[in-house]
Amino acid sequence: MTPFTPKELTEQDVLALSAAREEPDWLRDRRQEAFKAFADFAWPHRKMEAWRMTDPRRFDLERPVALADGPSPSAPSSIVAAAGELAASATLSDAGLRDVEVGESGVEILDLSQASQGPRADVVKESLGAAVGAEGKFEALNLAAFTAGALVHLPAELIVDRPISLTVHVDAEGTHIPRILITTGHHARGSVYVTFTGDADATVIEALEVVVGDEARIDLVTAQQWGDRVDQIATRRGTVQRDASYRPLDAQLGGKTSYIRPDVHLAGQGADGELLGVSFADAGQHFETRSELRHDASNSHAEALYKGTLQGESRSVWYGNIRIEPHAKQCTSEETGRYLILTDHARADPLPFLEILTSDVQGCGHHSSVGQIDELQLFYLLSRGIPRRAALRMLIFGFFSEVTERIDLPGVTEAVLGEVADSIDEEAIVLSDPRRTH
Amino acid sequence: MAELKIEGLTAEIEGTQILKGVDLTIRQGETHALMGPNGSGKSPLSSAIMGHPAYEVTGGSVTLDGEDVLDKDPDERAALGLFLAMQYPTEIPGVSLTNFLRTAVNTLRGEELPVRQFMSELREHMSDLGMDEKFLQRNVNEGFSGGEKKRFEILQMAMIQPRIAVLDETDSGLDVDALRVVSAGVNKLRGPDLGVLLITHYSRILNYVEPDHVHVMLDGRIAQSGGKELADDLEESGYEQFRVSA
Repeated sequence: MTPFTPKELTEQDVLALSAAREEPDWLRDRRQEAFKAFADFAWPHRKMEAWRMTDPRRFDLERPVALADGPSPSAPSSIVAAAGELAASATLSDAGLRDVEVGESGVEILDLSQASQGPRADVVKESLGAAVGAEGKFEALNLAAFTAGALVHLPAELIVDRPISLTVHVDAEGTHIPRILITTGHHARGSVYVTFTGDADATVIEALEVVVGDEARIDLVTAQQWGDRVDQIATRRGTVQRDASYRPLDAQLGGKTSYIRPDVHLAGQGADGELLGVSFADAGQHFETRSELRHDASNSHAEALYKGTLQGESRSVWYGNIRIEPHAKQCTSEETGRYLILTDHARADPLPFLEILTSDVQGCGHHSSVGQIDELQLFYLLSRGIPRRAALRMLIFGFFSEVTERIDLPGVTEAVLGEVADSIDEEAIVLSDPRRTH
Repeated sequence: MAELKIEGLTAEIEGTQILKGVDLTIRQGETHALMGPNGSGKSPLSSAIMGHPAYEVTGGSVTLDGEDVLDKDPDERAALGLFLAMQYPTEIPGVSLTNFLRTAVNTLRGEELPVRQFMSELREHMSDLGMDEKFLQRNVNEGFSGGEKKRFEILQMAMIQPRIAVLDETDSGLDVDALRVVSAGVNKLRGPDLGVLLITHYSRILNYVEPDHVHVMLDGRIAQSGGKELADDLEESGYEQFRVSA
């Protein structure tokens, strides 16, 4: 088949892709349906509310899709390296899934196209598009034309102690359309690290959906660690069933443009969602995170907490929304976005919103702030003999601690803070003027 | 024996001159009390000694054993053996108290103190200062009461073992019981290796921490120096008498 571009995608391309992947008819039909939705949506532009802060023209949609496998990643990401022993691992590249190792873990990692006709076809059939459907231009594009997909499935009752690693590796020029589906049976429990590695002049249009079964729990880490030439659009959503728990952490460290929607859909009574994020935007980087906590069942609980630092000419936007549906009673929900500007020329916009459609709310709140390193705090540490470099690091780690102290996954805090520490440009740091606090 | 020598020190904040030529010498083993009304320049003096970023030194000198203090960053001043117990210690959310203290102690003592020894020293000093074990779980000054902050300042002084310590209104905001405990803590640290400059508003603390020298500060200068009797005099007659002679 000939490589298509997102801009010029046709129904023929979608059919050819499905055929090349030897997919069953039902999956081909689903792609085709998604294509119709894709064709109906307008391309995003600046005047759309969701694209007010990130110019969609940052994404080159005329890059031909990459379909062939390149070499395997030469080294794991720092987060995976720090994680120690893994329960299972695999790499998702442009031609599909490879390097799959599941050992005795009980975890199933399958290529999505292949899984759709194997013993797990029912799981794919039921869950594909359940959390991230053809709801917008890019989501529809992904569902219609995902070039490589992975299914990570934890059967009912399976409890996995060590992390499951899935590496999304990009090393070819062009457009990459990966799709990841994580599903669990009831009472299953595990943590999945999805790390993004490699570098190329690339546009990545990703969808990641997680379906957490009754009383199950998934901890998810998504870590952008690719080079500074990758522009990425991602929609990630967990659908959480009765008394289940979904705890994603997004570490936004690499890439050039990163436009991410991490959502949780609390679909069952007593469902729990905790969305965490840490980011370090350096010169030339533009990050936007649009989180939504959607309460669709009573007694559900959710929290979003995003913290980021910025340095050089960089920008971070956090747009958070809490939506409580009319029939979702007695919910608690809270969202927070806080940013620390380290140097001149950086800009952060934390923008919390609330859509509460019921009067029967247990608790709901939002918080946001943008600040700089406090010169008085720094003075306090210096006056105790702590050298400037160590003191600044201590304050920045302190800023992130609200998030990191909630993470109990092996290697994650250590690796993320290590990346942060390596990125800090001490010389350029601008402090808040103590005179303003007097 | 270490000697902190302040000569003709002038400083300003936001363009307002607040120190107008301060002369003061403090040696290891001595305890000096610095008294004065609000706005006389006591806190600015302590801040200028430690290198607080809000104060700009415009003239004069501060030396420790002949070494220029003023051209050094605060961490280098601490390394020389200077310590400032602050009047309003800064809250630092997210920075754990033990991590902070260990980093400070290891840096200033110039050796990696074994954790066991560090903790046993820490516990001993905490018990002297009537501080609960739970303190160790907290972040630096975060959510501390006024009294807890003051105790923590003295705890740091005990762990850091400075040569010259400036205590900026450590007594303010303390009730009598807390004042007694904190004073006892300070007294325990006094000795031939420690020089103390005790800045205070009231002579109350001087009943517990007896000074060798008392100085009265007025309008950015030392207006009068003397022994303990000067503090008693102040208690009776107030600061006005010195304003005339100044």
